[in-house]
Amino acid sequence: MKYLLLFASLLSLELFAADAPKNDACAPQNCTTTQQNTAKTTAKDSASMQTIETSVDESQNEHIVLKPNRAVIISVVGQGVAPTNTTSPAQAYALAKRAAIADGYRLIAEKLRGVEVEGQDLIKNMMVERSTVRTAVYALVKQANVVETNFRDGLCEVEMEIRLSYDSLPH
Amino acid sequence: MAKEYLLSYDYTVKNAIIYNEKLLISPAMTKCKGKPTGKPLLLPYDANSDKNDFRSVVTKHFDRFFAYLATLGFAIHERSTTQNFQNTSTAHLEFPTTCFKVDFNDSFVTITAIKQGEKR
Repeated sequence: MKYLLLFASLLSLELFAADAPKNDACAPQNCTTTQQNTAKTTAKDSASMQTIETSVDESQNEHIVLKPNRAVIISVVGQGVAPTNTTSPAQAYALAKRAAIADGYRLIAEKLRGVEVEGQDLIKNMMVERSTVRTAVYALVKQANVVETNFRDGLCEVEMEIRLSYDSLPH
Repeated sequence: MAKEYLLSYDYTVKNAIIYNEKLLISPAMTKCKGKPTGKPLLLPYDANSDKNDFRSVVTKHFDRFFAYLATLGFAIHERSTTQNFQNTSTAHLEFPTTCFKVDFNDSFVTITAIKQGEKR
């Protein structure tokens, strides 16, 4: 019976200690347990943060695609149109191909370097009066190759590719 | 005796249609500083022909020369504007002025780009 009472009193004390963090005013003994609990939780939080950080690092490592002995090929299709005032079909083909190659270079530059985008909307009397989106691309592209050329109905399509490898980069 | 030439090439494409194309070739007035870079380009030419200068050889085999320039690198500068859902674009493809060492042999021309150092 004595042991039962002792056990009940211990249980009530533990329950009080568990409820103690909710109360601002608490006994010093209980406060220490609370601090320990919070310390444990912060330790747990820091551990979880570390795991999050490591997982972020791992995911960042997954994004690095250029690895030794592994090449990445980027392929694009550029389009160009022949001008209307050409003297011969051959000239039309040559000029459309030039335009398509420039478009292919633009697409490669967009993929490798990114695009600068600027947008502007003019709203007057609760209505969109003018909507403008400006984009700009600038890059120096080396070692791009024309793989295939198709010319049909004045439209020239040029398939271009660029091979990126870790070994070709300056270390 | 190898000769040295300065060459630049660029063209503009407006709304997917080529606007202008410019190929400038000039003999180098002073000796080019730098080292030969990359693999040389070999182009055939007729030694008996009257037109056997660098310009005529390049214009005759321009597709191959263009592919060679592509290995050296093109600068692409593109701007596009979409206003009220109507798009206009201007792309400028440029090969910057580069010195080439040109060696005329019996039946072919050896063209090698000279890469300059930090100073240009």
